[in-house]
Amino acid sequence: MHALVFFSKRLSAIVVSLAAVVTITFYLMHSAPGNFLEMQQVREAMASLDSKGREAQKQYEIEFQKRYALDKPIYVQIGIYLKNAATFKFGPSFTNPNVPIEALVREKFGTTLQIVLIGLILAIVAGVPLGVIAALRKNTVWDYGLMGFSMIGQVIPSFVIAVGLIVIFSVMLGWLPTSGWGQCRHYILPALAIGAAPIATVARYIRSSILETMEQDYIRTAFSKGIPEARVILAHALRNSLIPLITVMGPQFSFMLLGSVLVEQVFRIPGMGSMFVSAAQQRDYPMLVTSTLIFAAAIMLVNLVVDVLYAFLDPRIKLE
Amino acid sequence: MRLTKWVVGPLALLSLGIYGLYNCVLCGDPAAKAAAAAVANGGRPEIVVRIPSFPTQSLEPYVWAPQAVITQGTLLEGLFGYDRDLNVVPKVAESWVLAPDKLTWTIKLRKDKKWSDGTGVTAHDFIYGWTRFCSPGFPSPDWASVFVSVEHAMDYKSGSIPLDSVGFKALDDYTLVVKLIKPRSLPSFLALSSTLPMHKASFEAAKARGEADFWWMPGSFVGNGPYIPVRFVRDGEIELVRNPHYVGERGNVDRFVLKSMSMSSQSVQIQQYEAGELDVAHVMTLGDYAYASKAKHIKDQVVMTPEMGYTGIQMARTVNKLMNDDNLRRAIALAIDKADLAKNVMGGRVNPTNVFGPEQDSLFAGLTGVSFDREEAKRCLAKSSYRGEPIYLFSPPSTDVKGLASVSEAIQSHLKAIGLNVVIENLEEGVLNSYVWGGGYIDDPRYNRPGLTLFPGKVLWKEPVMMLRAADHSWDWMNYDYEVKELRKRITLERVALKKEEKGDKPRDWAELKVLRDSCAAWFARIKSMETDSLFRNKILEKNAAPQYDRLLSSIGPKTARDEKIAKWQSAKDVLLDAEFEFLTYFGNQRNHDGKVTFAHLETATMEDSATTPLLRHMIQLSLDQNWIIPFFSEKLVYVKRPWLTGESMNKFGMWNVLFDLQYINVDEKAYMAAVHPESKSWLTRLASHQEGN
Repeated sequence: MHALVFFSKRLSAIVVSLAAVVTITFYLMHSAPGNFLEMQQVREAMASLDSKGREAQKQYEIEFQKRYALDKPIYVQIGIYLKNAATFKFGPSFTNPNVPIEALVREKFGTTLQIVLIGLILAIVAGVPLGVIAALRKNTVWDYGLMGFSMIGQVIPSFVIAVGLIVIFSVMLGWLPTSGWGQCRHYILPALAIGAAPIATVARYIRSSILETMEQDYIRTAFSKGIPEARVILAHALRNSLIPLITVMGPQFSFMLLGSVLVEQVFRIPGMGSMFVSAAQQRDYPMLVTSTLIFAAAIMLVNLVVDVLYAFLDPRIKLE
Repeated sequence: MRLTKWVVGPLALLSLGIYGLYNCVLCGDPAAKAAAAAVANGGRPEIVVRIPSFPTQSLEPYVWAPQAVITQGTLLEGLFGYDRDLNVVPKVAESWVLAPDKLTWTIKLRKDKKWSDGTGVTAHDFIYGWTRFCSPGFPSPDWASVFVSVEHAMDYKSGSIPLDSVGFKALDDYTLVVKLIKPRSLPSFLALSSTLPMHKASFEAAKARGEADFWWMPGSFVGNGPYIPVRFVRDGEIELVRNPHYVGERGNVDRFVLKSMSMSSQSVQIQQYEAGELDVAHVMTLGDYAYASKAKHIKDQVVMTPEMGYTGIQMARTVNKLMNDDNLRRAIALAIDKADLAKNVMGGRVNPTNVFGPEQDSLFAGLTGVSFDREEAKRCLAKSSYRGEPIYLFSPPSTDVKGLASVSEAIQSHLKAIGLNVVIENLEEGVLNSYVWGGGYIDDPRYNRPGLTLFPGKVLWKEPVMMLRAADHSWDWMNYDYEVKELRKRITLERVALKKEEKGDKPRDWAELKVLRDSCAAWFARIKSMETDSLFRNKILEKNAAPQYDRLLSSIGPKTARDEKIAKWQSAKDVLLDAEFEFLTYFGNQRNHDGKVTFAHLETATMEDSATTPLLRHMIQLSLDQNWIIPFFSEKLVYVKRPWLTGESMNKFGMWNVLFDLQYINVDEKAYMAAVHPESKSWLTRLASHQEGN
């Protein structure tokens, strides 16, 4: 029962927040000077028009505004948008009026999610063991080396790591392709680039969490009962240290989702990120607001999942 | 120790897994696959060329989007197209005649041209495509086409008249007639993607399947260009193979792989080229240019070709009196050390220029622009009314890739050297564009500051007005005067406010407007008696809105609804305001008048006419004399390409500077096979003996 109330509360909060995100995005978009029709390339072409053409241009602008409801007050535009968004219909974009945005999202969001999930798995699979080693070899060369390394991973932006990886693994060694999408070998470098910072974060969290857990009474008890070291660490220390990890994974997911915007550009991955960037540059309002909405929804849903997992893993926490 | 086993063990396993994965997926190498597949090709491996392209969302030719460079000439062939030097040449057209009225074009088509399904290309295919472009409700960009100048085409688009009144028709299978409303350089426009033909049967079939928006997908697509698509991934890769029925000049490439990527600093094209994944790579950033032109293994493969356009500064569109000072503008033009910009800031990637494009271009020969002279600049500044006010240099953000941000810094230092107080203000691209294009009319004090903006001027296609380089700017200088901008601002704001004025249902509302109507009639009567150039006189008299006011007023009867009356009143005021701008600016300075008259003639000129070039040169010289726009360099499009690749044609027009017209690309087979398929030695030996035999 508690869980049901919790879910309905959280889901309605998400719906309200998404509506707020859309409203804010609309206002920000419209208050930024310049619009799609004024964007350089369109203007350049239009500018060549003679006087008869200017009338056609005016007609074009009127039709354009009508098609996208730009002639209506902004709150009406937001209303129309939200109403359509509720049924997952976003209409066509400015730049390519023949393709509805939902078709693009359906095609592209899966790709972005794939990279982020691979990055996330990599972060856990690589970050946890690294953190454990660093904790158990505290203040040794292992610890300093790993933590120093993780610090580097954390401070270098993912797109710089991406270019570095391309130069080493594709150009110098020739092992992996520089870009593309669809085959397993295409996934490795983007996942490493996007996962580098989360690996570092996870390792650092696990390290401090294990250090704290190892001080607990029950660990001492376990050792005194003669349980093998490995079992103490894996079954008792590590398991209890994983709870804080879940809390970092939520923000890490958001972080990677945003990072994917740049990593996708470098590796030529046809995902949401590249769509988002070009939409912002060209003032493609429908595309821009939809990308924002999708990113926001993904982040909010992941946060919800994290909260649920948290309660599941730690019986002391209740869903309320 | 046991602990290490537990932690290091899984890590080792993981690495093994990754290694195994890597090894097993290596079998999927496309190059290996292509080589295997091509063994069927008479033992000769397939010739595959991989080139970068813009992210592409569809292959619909009738939208003004990056796909235009693939559809135009490569997938579909128009009546006209470009040769490798970008001259407009006939493709499907065989001959054409322009009637003495300079409006009616009759075009005969070649009879040997085929669609990819083997059927012949006829005049009806063009009419079918053009009709689709012009149909009401189809979101085609009218402004990027000639149809705005075709008789009744726009009326048809607005839904007000039936199709058979539109001025294009097929007289028979191989004869087309196009009737224009004013002289235009028709062949230039018939080379653009908006006038490509369409294969009716395949489109109708896709439509019947409910896939009208996806008729261009591989499998459904029937084209008349040299290549057809066989694979399409939105914003991903596109593969083209030879159209087996194509008739015409074409290179020996069997397959093109177009890899979509962002043409910005975020792309790693050079690395992809080095890794052997691209056969051509654009050198986008100054950093890449510095690397490519020095790196031993690729510096010989760097190709540079001058763009059709220039980069310069223009006086910002903001409404401020300061820049009206001729001496100040001339001082600015004199103060910019163009050679320094080209060499030290742009690293030799550009050519300094005093005109609106490469100086060696015959269009500019003998024209005089302003060259760098710091002492003269100081003297000029001393004669001006400038008294140390801040002049803003509105610039792209410092992260911009083309080096324009560093150009701003250099210009600031050049201008400071003569004593100007220049302040750089970095603006995001969207905001900057409103200062370059649309600014000045917004009711915001920031838009009243004096300033300069960096500006790239481009040619979008070959046609007299476009050839002025950067259309809007190289001719629009007549509208840069402070008084003109101030007037335009007032009128623009009034027109915006007009939408909220609910007037028109009372006689006194119309009486109020009659004052403007009468002065409009009086001014245009004066213009009619004064203007000596008949073409320009006719053009400007079209702007007289008094008759339209009379028409709208007389159309109001006792039964006219209130809303309709308001709409008519608003419409009348709108055209009157437009007319007010025209007649008030007519009596500006003589140079502006000269510019407007020349421009009116250029609008109706055709590229084929020998009188056009002198007109263009006159207009460019007028613009150079004003210094409203100051060019300083002309960019070179830079790319690297494999030594075995020849015949490539770079799109040097304003947008989408990538390889296009892929039909001209040819590969030196021997060098290609040796480089790409060393395993096919036996085939090479046969080729060699074959060549010797010949």
